[in-house]
Amino acid sequence: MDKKIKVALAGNPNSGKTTLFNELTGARHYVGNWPGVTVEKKEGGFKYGEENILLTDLPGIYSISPYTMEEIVTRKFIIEEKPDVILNIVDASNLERNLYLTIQLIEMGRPVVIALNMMDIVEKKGIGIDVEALSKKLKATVVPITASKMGNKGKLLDAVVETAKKSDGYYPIEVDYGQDIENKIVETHKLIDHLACLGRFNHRWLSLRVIEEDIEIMNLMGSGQKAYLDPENSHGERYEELIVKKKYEFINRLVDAVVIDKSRDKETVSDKIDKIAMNRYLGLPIFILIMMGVFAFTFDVVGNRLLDLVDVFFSEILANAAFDWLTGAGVSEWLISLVVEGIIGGVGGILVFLPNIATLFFAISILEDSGYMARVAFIMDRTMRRIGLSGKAFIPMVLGFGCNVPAIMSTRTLENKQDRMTAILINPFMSCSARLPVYTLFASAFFPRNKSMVVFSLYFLGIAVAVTVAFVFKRTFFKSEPIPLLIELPPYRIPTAKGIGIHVWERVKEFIVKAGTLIFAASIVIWFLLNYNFAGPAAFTDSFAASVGKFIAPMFTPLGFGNWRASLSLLTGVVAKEIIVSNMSIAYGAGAGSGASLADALSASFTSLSAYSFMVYVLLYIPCIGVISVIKKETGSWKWTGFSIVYQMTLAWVIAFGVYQIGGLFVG
Amino acid sequence: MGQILTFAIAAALISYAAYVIWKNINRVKEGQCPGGCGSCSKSCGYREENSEGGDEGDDDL
Repeated sequence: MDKKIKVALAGNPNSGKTTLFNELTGARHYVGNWPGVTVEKKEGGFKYGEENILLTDLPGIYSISPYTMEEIVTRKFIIEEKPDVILNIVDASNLERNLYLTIQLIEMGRPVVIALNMMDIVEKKGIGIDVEALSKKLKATVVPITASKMGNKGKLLDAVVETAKKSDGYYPIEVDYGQDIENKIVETHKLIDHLACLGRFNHRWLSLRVIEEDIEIMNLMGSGQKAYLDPENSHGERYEELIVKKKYEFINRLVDAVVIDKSRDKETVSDKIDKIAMNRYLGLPIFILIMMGVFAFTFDVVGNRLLDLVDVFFSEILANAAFDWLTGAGVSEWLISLVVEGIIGGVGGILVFLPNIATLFFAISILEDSGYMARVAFIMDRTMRRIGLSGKAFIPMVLGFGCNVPAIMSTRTLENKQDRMTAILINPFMSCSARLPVYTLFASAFFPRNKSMVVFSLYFLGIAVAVTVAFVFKRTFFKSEPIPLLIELPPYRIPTAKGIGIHVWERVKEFIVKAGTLIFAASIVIWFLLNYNFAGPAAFTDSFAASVGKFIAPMFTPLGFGNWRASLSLLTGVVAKEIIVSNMSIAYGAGAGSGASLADALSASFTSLSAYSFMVYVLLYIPCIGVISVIKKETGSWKWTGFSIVYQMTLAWVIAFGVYQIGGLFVG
Repeated sequence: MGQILTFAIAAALISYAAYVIWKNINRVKEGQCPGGCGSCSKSCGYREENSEGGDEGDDDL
């Protein structure tokens, strides 16, 4: 027989697909690139009995929605190449998740044979699977295998050949989506039935894809037909979400019927916690409450008590010791000033906030290691999709609380370029740890009773601005459909002391290294700029730095902080945001050894309202130079980098102006 | 003695500051954050593993 049986091998990533492919094809496979994409396919031909079989290994996928390149390649192959059989490899130890793809493949209308892999692992767990019942319920042959040992190779290939040669047609199972969606399927079918170009698709599958707003299928339709489509039912529920829900309900019923495992019936602790923590209505308020708790713990319970101790060490013990030693050694007065006021003042002015940073990351590490942070993306998915982004885009936003540079790099995990560009441009609004010393300083000085709530409000404002800007960008520059979030949630676990210790130490180390290098060097430069002008040594008010500060200060007068010291610190903050505080420590002459605290010195230049306006400006204005550099690298565009700088500066000015001017109406 | 010590300390401090500034300019040129923090080193590993960087992005998106 000359005709080859075309078999497509499809399955989830890590389901043992490549192992099965190699076992079936031996050494006869070759690797070829798909035109226009980077995703590889493998093809292998082999003879089984009298039959020639051509096996195509498709990329590993979780679903066949056209969101990732892998999904597009797989779908295109099934639609255009029309394989005689789809050999779907299913990881039996992860049945629910794998069956989602199986159902989608079956719905596409090509004959499916299921290779139920990793049966050895399932058996070791003491779980039994009624293969016959599963086969009956899916209307497809199911063959249990262990790909690495390939015990049932003959049985599997028999099933493939038999299915390919079936002459009485293929009647796939139909998931019952409920009356509402079934009516919608019929209605949509009528709407698209006459389209000749869509004839190559299975009609039921096609109608479902249209209802799920499949962008590729929608592109084949006319705008008149699209106008008839309503993405929501009469209760305001999205059809797309309802279809996914119904599919999982079907899968759960199926798994309940075929899996023989008593332990499955027990609700795990994670399930119980998730019932509350991931509840549709409670999820977001719980997340907000937890974050408020984190800030209260950081600023009210632990952080500020330790801050006072570190402050005493730098401003009194170390500064006095350095002063005494340098004076005793007969060193020039200007060098004593540089070391004590410039370096110890500048570096010490930053290091006093180390306890706050360590405490904040201690709390965040607990949330991460416990498995809660992974759920936050899921909780945020609904909100994020309303603005046009997927919940996955929230993960770089959370990372931005640490540092915006790696957070922007992590946007590479987002599937489409429009989402990625939006996520990059909004990330600097997420308040990185470098901005924390500024908030701590001002909140402690001007809002001693509510400092944790003030800092929380700034983090919250950052998220709100990011979400609003994303909403605008997704409707103007970067239009695209939001991609549904599919992530595996780890079970909750009690964080280990070692794990938390490593996380906190990494942050503390970063902060100390930055203080010992960049802040140290910046403090020296700032000290010189504050103590000299073209004529030589000068008073602060006549220095180079004062000239620059006075030049830009009028720009900030409407925001409530039009003094040269504050303006200058904002300018130096572009190098790194921590430098704002070290600059202020030196410029206000309130650094180490002066006897006066910076908080006291600031109260002469700021009111509570202008202090809050200043913090808002620091939160939103131009990101540090490292972030600017990474935006250029990741967008590959000077235009978008320049845009990012200009729109952030403008937005920061407008919002801080609003805070100060509108706040002034109430505060008086 | 005081003058020699002043010169030595000042030279050491200024040399160190110049070295740090020069090193950080290079770091920023490479798309890392200034200050040499660990998270950026990890990001560099991430960058190497993922060939899909944005260098080839276009202005017209």
